[in-house]
Amino acid sequence: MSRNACRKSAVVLALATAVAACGGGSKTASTNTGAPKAGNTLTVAVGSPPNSLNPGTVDNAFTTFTLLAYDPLIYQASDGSLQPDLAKSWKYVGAGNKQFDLTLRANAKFSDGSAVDAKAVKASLDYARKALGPQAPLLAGVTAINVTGPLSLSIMLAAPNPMVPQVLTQYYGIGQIISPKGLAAPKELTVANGSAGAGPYVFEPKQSVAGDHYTYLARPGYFEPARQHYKKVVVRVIANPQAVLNALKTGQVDVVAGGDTSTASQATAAGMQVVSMPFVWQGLNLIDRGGEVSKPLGDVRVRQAINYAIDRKTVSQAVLGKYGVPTVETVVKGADGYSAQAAGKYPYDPEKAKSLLTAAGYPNGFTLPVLSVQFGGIDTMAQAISGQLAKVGIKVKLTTVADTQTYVTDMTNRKFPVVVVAYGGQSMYLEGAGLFLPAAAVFNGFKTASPNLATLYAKASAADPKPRAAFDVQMQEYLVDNAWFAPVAFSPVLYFARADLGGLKVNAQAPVACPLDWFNTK
Amino acid sequence: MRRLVLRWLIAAIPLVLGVSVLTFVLASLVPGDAARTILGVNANPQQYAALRDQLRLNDPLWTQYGHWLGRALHGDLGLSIQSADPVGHELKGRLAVTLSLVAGATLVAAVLGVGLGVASALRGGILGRCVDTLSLLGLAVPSYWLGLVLVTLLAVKAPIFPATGYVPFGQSPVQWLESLVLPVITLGLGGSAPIAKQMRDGVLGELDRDYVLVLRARGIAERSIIFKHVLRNAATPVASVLGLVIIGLFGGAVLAETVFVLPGLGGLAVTATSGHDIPVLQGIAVVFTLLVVGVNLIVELGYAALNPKVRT
Repeated sequence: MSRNACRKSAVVLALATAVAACGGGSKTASTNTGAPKAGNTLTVAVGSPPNSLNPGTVDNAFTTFTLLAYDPLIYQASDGSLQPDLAKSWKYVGAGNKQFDLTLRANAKFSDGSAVDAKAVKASLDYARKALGPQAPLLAGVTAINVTGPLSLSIMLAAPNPMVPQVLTQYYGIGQIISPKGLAAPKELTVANGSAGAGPYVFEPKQSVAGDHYTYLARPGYFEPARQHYKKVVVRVIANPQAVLNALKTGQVDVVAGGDTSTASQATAAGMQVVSMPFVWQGLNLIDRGGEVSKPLGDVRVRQAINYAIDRKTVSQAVLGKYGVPTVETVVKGADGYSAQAAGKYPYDPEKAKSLLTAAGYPNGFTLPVLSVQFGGIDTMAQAISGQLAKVGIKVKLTTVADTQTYVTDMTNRKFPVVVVAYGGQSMYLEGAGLFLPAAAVFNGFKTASPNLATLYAKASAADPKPRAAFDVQMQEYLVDNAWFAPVAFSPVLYFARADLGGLKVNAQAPVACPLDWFNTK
Repeated sequence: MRRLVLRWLIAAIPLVLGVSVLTFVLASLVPGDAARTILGVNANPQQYAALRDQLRLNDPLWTQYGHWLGRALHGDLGLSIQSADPVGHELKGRLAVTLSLVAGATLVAAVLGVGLGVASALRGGILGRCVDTLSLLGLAVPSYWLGLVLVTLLAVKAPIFPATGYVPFGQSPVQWLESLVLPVITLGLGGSAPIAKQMRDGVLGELDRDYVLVLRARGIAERSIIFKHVLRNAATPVASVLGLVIIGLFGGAVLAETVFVLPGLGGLAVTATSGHDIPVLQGIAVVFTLLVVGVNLIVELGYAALNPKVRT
């Protein structure tokens, strides 16, 4: 499961492909194509307060709160492409993705007036590596950051890593650069004290209340004023779906980031834009692939039977409504790693499931302990899947815990062979470290290892983008063929916005929209 | 009077201590911890262990409480685990919102409750029955539902008041008032019901007393009897009910703040609970306890003003 709302894929595909990928006939982009008009205030509503305003410790899910004030080295545009920001150019040097060089733009300054140079960037990245933030592991393979000139530096890696450009974008706090002055007292990068970045806006403590609203004012002296579409941006925290919809309807809020599926139809009826993208898959993580706790799961035929036994279309419609997109894969159509061949692998076929169970020696089914949690709709999905499996004789013994800490503990202590999860928003490559490699500390609780998968991953790590795409697809096909998971459906990331807002786009490569791209059209 | 105040203040010390211990223990019993909340579920065990150590979550419970108490006695409520800001700073920003809300709701509850109670007692008949019915409705209708209805009618369908949010008085007194109207009505209507009932019963009881008969026999004007004697005597028990209502309003403020998205202490309590932010929870518990003590003291003083017998 991931709370991370912003993790991005690596391979840039055509926008048309991504649009085709979106299920439920929902829109993936604002219909307003007019030119940006200067606006006074943009008010964005989100569902939860950030865990931190410090880019080094902020969770990916909350980078909206930091990216306004802290420019990243590389900017991921709404079409998924990587654009210059504080870095004007970048490239891997030599073969094998083990050295990544950056050249910085010359005219960028932090909000305190100091220059953004190679020394400052190195200091910020070094801090991010050591900070106890959720994203620190993404830089764990960095052995050194060498300043090679006033505006150039090299990131040296112990092992090949093709994802460095992605993790240096605005969607990862570690790519958002903190000034040397801010690094002198990083614990003071809070609501009470303000920001220390080089972004188009500066955080204004006097107009902010922690946990309620966060105000950012356009910063004079920013190197590209055209990106400052508003004089002020306010991010409000409104947890209640009905309250946020009322705020949108009455003009108190311009955009709702992370809208609720239960109020999407009301938003549409009220004339608001509703933009969505399949994002996080919900389903079963069959972690005991060696049959250690549940012997039947050690047989691939049993795991495949589970996949055949689930009527994904029905469950998706029932649990997620029209925004649910059935899937057997861990990545969305249009994203890197997606396999058209694997997509048709497990049509709903209870008879096939029963015959596979019989062939595996379980004609009468078996009892399967499954862990679930009361979080993000996972428990509802767990109930639905249990009903499906019961039809082929698999009796699910469901344990639903109330908190994520117990959930994580029980997922990793080899107590439960199967866990209901919600996971996504990551590229296929990053899923390796987070989901299916032995190094995936949480989601691969039994440390299942596969030489085939390890080989493919190693090849992908050292490959250029084009050949890596092929390895990503092969890894996905391996996971599907060997039924390491039984994904059921993707739940969406939803945006509601007033009708005249422009620049709101999502796609498979960039499923999370960035407030810096939004503008008034009237 | 001074002794009365002193007695209350002394009584408040063990109360605040007791509540802080209870809050600390109960918050610690909630499954999960702040480290997991901050890091999310993807963090590896090493990261998790390091952050637990940094946050001193591995210390025994009483050690953790001792650290908090030591700082609190010096006026330092610690740092919020979620925002990393001083707890005192967070509470200060939100206290004004909750106090504005509760004060407004108290005013609505008192004026409406007393007015309806007196009118019902004096006029009787249909009005009396209407007041009884309204009182029951006030008690039965959930404030959460009432808030949503008011927002739909008076903010969305007829855009008279803002649907959500709070504007500080210093920023715009008019907008401050507008932002409080709906939440205050939502909270105050429920509070008016018990006051109206008590007032009605009190006035009816007083009107049956012999002194009223004597006053009437002496030819004193009915208006004077009601306002100078009956209401004064009937108000004494109402003061107690009002105290309880105000304390209840602090609890109700949590819901009102959620529905109307007000940055008050109630909303902070909700996010601090879900985020295992014990320093903030401790701070809120202390503030709420002091507020309850303060309200009770004011009620006691008001009671003493109305009834000289309790002044000694």
